[in-house]
Amino acid sequence: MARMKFICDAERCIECNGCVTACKAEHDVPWGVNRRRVVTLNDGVAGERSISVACMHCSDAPCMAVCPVDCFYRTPEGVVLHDKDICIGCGYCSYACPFGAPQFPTNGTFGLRGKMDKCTFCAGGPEANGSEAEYEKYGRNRLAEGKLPACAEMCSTKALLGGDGDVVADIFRTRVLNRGKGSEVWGWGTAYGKPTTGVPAVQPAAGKS
Amino acid sequence: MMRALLRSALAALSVTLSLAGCGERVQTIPVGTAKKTDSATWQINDNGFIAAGWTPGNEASWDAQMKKRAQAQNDYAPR
Repeated sequence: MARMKFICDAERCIECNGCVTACKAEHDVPWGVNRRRVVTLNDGVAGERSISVACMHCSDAPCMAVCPVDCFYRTPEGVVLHDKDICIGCGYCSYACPFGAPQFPTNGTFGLRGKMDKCTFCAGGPEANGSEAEYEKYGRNRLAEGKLPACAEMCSTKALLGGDGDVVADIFRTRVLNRGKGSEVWGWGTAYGKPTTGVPAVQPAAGKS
Repeated sequence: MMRALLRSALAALSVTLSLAGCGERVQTIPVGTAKKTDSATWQINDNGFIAAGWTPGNEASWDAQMKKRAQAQNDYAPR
């Protein structure tokens, strides 16, 4: 069983916002809501780095943990989705999420905060797959159509990878090995330390008893 | 008399029309509504957007399709 994940290669992201545009167009996302955003560190400084951020479909999702009406659920593919018919738009998930993924449309009457909207990994919602009702509430269900998320498939530099976590990790690993750098920017270097971490400073001499 | 009636009718109509802008879709959940269960990802009726190369409704076929699609993101994949 696939376990769907995104990973963004900071060495390749050129901050074109193609992923953001693809997402908005594919799902007819309303004004004021961005399911995906490109974040740039040290913008304008030589060596700036950008990554594309959306819902990371956490294995232990904080949004799910804090939701007072329990509107979230996780699909067998590891995609975190929610039921907009149950959501009350309280915003707790927005405070809990470290990535700022939950978004709230404010274009209702008197600028009222609407029901939460977020990246669905292009997997729709609890309505029938590919139905009009699903499209209206959550956007297109590309996963059920045999496609991967539009943002990843549209990425011109292939910086944003989406799909089965094992597969995208393999793709990223091969890429980093081929270019000889990159993991230290975002990825293993950040999560698990630099390649030199844990290596003894002095190697024991061979042949000594 | 007629004019007064007409005036009040017009006033009622304008009030109704201006308040209509304040309306909002009913969002209440009927009592007893439970969380819906989602169907399996590979279960889909043909909506005209299904990618070629796999059989909808077949899990193994969908898995293979996902792996194939993912490799399109891989510059180092053998072509």
